[in-house]
Formats: sequence, C-alpha cells, structure tokens
Amino acid sequence: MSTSTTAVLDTPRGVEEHAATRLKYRSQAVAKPYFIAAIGLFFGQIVFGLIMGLQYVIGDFLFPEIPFNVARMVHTNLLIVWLLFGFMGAGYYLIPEESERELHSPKLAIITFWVFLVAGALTIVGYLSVPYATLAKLTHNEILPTMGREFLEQPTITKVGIVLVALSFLYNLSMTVLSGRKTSVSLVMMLGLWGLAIFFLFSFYNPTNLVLDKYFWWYVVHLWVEGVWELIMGAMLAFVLIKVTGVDREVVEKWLYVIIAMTLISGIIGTGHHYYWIGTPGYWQWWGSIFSAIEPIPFFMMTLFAFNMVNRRRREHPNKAAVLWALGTGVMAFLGAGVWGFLHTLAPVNYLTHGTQLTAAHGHMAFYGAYAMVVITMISYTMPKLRGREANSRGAQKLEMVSFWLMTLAMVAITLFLTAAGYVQVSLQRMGTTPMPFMAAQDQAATYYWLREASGVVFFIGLALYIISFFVKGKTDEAAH
Amino acid sequence: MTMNALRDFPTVWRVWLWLTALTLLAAFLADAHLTPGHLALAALSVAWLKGLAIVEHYMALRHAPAWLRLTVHGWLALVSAVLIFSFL
Amino acid sequence: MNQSVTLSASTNPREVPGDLAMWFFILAELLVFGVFFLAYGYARAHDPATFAAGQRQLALGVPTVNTLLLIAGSASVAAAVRAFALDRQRTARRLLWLTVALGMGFVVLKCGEFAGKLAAGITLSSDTFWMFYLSLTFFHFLHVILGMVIVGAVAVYARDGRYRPGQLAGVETAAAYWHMVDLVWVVLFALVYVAR
Repeated sequence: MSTSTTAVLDTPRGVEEHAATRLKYRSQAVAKPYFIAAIGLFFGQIVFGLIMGLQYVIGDFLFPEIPFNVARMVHTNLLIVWLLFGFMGAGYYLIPEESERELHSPKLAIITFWVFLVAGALTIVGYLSVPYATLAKLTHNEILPTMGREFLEQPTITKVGIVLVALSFLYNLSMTVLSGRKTSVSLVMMLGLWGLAIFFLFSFYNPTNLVLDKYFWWYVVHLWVEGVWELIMGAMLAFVLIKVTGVDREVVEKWLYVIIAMTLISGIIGTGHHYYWIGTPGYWQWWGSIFSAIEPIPFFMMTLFAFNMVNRRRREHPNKAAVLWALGTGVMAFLGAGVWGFLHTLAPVNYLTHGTQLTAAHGHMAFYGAYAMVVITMISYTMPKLRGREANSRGAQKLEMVSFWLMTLAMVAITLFLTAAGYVQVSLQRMGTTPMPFMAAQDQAATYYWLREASGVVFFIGLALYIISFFVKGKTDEAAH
Repeated sequence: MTMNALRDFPTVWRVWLWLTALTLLAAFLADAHLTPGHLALAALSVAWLKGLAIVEHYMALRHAPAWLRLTVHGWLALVSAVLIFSFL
Repeated sequence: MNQSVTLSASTNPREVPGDLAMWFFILAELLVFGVFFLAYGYARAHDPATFAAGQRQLALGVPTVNTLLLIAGSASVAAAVRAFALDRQRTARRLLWLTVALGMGFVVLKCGEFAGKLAAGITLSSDTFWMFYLSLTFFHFLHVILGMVIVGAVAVYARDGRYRPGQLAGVETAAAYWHMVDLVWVVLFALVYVAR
C-alpha cells in the first residue's frame, strides 16, 4: 500500500502509468490503500472470531492473555473499522467518477488514511495490551466518559479522531460533489456518509440514566446499520450495477429512490425494536414490532434490484466476480438482515429471544451479507481498475469466485448453527417451569458451537483464498470488453 | 371551470358520487344503533366497496397487469376480511 | 416488471399506470398500513372494552368531512390525468391544485382534531386504543402531506406542458400515490371511527 500512496503524493506520473489507463480520474487511486487496509483488518477480525469461537467451548483458551471480552471487543471493533475503511475507499473512488472531476484534495485523503490507520491500530493495541479499565484511565476517560458501551468501546480520544477523520473525508467529498456533476448515486452516498458522521456524535453523550443511555446508544448503532448504512450500501450497489450491466442510469435511480424511501420509513421508527421492556414506554412494543416487521422490504428490494439489473444487462462485463458479489450481496443481505432480523423482531418473540445466540446468528449474517459483501463487491469491481486493468485474469477471478462460495456458504452454516444454539438456549434457559442456569444451557449447545467453529475455519480458508486471488497472475480476458 | 371539467369526465364523476354516498351511509350507520358486530361488518364492507371503486377506477388498475391488480385487491380483501373477522 | 420500468406512457391496455418503482413504493406503504391495521384488529379483539370506551369519545362529523375531502381530491386528480390525456393543460393543472387544496382542508381539520385530543390530555401512553388512534392517524396524516407535495410538484412541473397524451407517466404516478393515501384512509375511517 505504501507504493501507491507515495505515488499519489510524490510522483503522480507513476500512478498515471499504472492505473490511469483504467481510471477515469487519477485521484481515484487514493481508494487503493483504503481497500487494502480494509482487507487487512477483515483478516484480523476473522482471526479474533476464530479465537472467540474456540473460547465458547474451551473457556480458558488463551486466558489470561486474550480474555473473551477483549477478543469480542477486538472482533466487533475491527469489523466496524474495516467497513469504515471500505466505505471511505468506496467514497473516494465513486464520488470523483460520479461528479466527473478529480477529488478535491487527494493529498488530504492520504493524510486522513494514515491518521485513521494509525489511530485504529493504536486503539486495538491498547485493547490487547492493557486491561480495559487501565486503558480508560490512560486515555483520561473521566474528562468526557464515553467508554464501556458495546461497539463504542473506543477511548474518547479515538472517538475524537474518528470525528476528525470523518470531517476531513466529508469535506473532501462534499467539495468534489459541489463543484461537479450531481447524480442520485452520489447524493444518496453523501446523504448516507453525512448521516453516518452525524449519528456517531450521539456516542459522545453518555447519560447516567441507563434507559436514556440505551436510547442514545441505539441512535448510533441502529440508525447506522438499519438506516444510513443502507443508503451507503444502496449507492455502492447501484454504482457497481450501472458499471457492470450498462443498464440506464434512470432505471437504476428509480430503484435506488424507492429502496431509500422504504429504508427510512421502516428503519427510523424500527429503532423501537430495541426498546422493549427496558424502562421505555409500552408503545414502543407496538411501534417497534410494526415498523421493524417492514424492515426486510428494502433488503428484499435490493435483491430484486440486483437480479433485475443483471438480467437486463446491456453488456457482458469481463469482471464476472464483481457481478457475482453484487448478486450475492442482494441475496445474503435479505436473508441475514431481512429474514433473520424478522425472526426475533416482534415484541412477544423478542421477550424470549433477546440477547441470545439468535441475535448472534442475525448479527453475523446481516453484517456479512449486507456490509461486508457490498464493500467486497466494490473492491472486486474497483481493484482491477486501480491496478491498471478492466478485470482480473480468468484464473484470479475463478479463485475469487471459489472464495465467494466458501465464505458465503460458511456464513450460512455459522448462521444456522448459531440459530440452533439459540433455539437450545431459549428453550432450556427461558422457557418451561424449571429453566436451566445460563452456563448449563450453554453446555447443552456445545455441539453447535463446535460446528460453528468448524464453519469459521472454512470461512477463514475462503478469506485466505480471496486474499491470494489478488496475487494470481495470468492473461486478462477482455474479449468481451 | 372545475365543474365543467368534471362533467367532461363522466366515469370520474359517477365514481365520486358513489364514494360520497357510501361515506355518508357509513356515517349514518355509525349512529344507527346496530350491535357492535353488525356495525363493524357494515362499516368495513362499505370500506371494501369504496376501496374496490378506488382501485379499479381511480388507480386505473382495471388496465394494469394482473399481478399488480390482484396484489392491490388482495391487500384490500385481506385487510377488510381479517378485520371483519376480528369483530365477530 | 421487466420492460415497464422505463415506461413513459400507459396507453397500452396492460401496462402499469405510472412508474413501476412508485408502484413498489405504494405496495410497500400498503403493507406498512396493512400490518398496522391487523395489529389494531388483534389488539382490539383482545381488549374490546378499552377500544369501545375510546371510540365513544370520537366525534364523527370532522372525520366524515375529511373522508369527503380526500375522496374529492382523488376524483380531482383522476380527472386531471384524463384532462392531460386530452391535452387540456389548463384544466388539468387546475384540477391538480384543487386536489392540493382539498388535501389542505383535510390537514387543517385534522390538526384541529389532534389539538382537541392533546388538550384533553390524551397521549400515546393513555391506553392501547389511544396509542393506535394517535399513531395510525398521525402516520396517515404525514402521508396526506407527502401526497400534497407530490401532486403539487407535478402541478408545478406541468407548467412546461410535459404531460401530454402519451406522456402521462409522471402525473399518473402522482395520482396513484394520492389514491393510495385515499384508499388507506377509507379503511382507517371505517375501522377507527365507525366500527365501534
């Protein structure tokens, strides 16, 4: 990543020679280090996933070096950070192309990249090297206490860094959009990215009242993944589909608008499905149930959208792998976010399933199917171009598609095994006249946890093959281009 | 002006009269001292009739592909029927 | 759903009236309201006394007038589509504005009704009936406003004469949305105000 980075900063000519043959705008090359960092952090996330998966069945594995709570924090934080790297890379690539002009400041984009990477790495090192309470003390959490909440565990100073990085990123992209062509894809993308930054600000408010705290916590977490991130996802998917299918922009835009409208109608009030029985007013049970029951629809529309566009394609794009990822995103997002979310979103069901392995099953497939896959779709489409070719060689694409199936099927398996574990947990621990204690119920699900870990290994192999596919050489098949 | 325009479009005009009459009928029924079950049956049936006219004539689904026409009619039928049953 | 997305006119007998994407939106909206209505039916069936007590406090006059206003708006926008089909531009635009004005009448009356309920101390937490009453009618109220915005926007666009015989997709799309708002209200009126 450092070669391309220096190339942008010092010798633009170097970039020109390599990438400009395929890039419409030279400054799009800044996306490359972001994507490489995203894949690297993704790898780290999966390693910690495997560690935790094993800790489910061998409780003292790697104890006391990496306790379960730390592994979990690293696993989820790496996920969020690599997705953010992916979104940013996607923004830096997509916005210049949609705006039909160079990025406002490629140099700022590269500085932002290093700041974000170093801050992210230091935070992870902090998680792993000192106890969390010590980290809080070291970073002076007492000045503005924001630590200790799931997904938002970052020290306050890191959170400030994230805001600064986001501001620099948004400034750079907004200036580009403002002085260039405005398309629905770029407007939806910018709406999503601005929303992402604005909702993150709620993470700085940490009320002492636990119920209020949950409200604000979900304003970040829920309004991200079931709100503005869906806009980012829709825009990225639309961008890639326009490119690989050659379908009229007008048609794609109509779909995009409807998907967004449905996302916002269902997703905003759908936040209520987190507010059951935690001290909030009772109407949330109705609102949460009714509106979140609708939340699968935008995801289902994305599936229809992806298949509809590919079926009506006007060209055979040589990058078959990118098309496969795009279709996979549609299907897996619907299954993971839509179907598995719906399973336990109704208040009477959630009464029994709240916070069980069913939630974990949903979380895994939804994050992979919606956000991991859409970022990989974008990487799959742009990386060959960033490396100076329309598409990768046939051999590389074949390997990438093998990795698609391994990762995707492994994720389906993980989801099914966690669902089975969740069923065991709910029926033994939460139902019946003599419910089992938590740990006893967990023991009864051990078989499923072992199977989940085995599926995780398959996922890891898939990811390794995916990374290897970047290094496979061979003749590029551009006959159809 | 507007009245002239409406006279030019007899279907729209007739459907409007029909919908208005049904609305007034529903309002009349509400004060007609029916048992709750009968009143619900009458009110929701009237709503169903009004919905049929809106879907067919105003939404112009008479001329639309069958899947769309059936979906909207299916929605109306399902909602009206289930609600009526919920009162019985 | 293949070819009709780019449809610019619906003179062909088996075509979707207006834009297909808007129809998906309308179907999704109908689903939201459908789920809401069924939830109401379920809750009422389990607690008919609370619902009956709440419904007895609802006056019927204003909602009846509101129903008539929405229906007249539907008639007016449907007439506007036919006027554009005959290329009677001025008449058609006036009919669109008439729909917006009728919608405004609905909004004003509805605001009065809400103000009355608030003044009576009714909130979302009063009981299950009032939760549904306020949620359903307010959610629908927002749709009336959106419908007015859509029809008004089409009326403004129409000034350049873009909606002509064979070029009706835009105005048909707006009309379809308005009719959906009307259709939902017809069921809501019967369920919440009349069926007690």
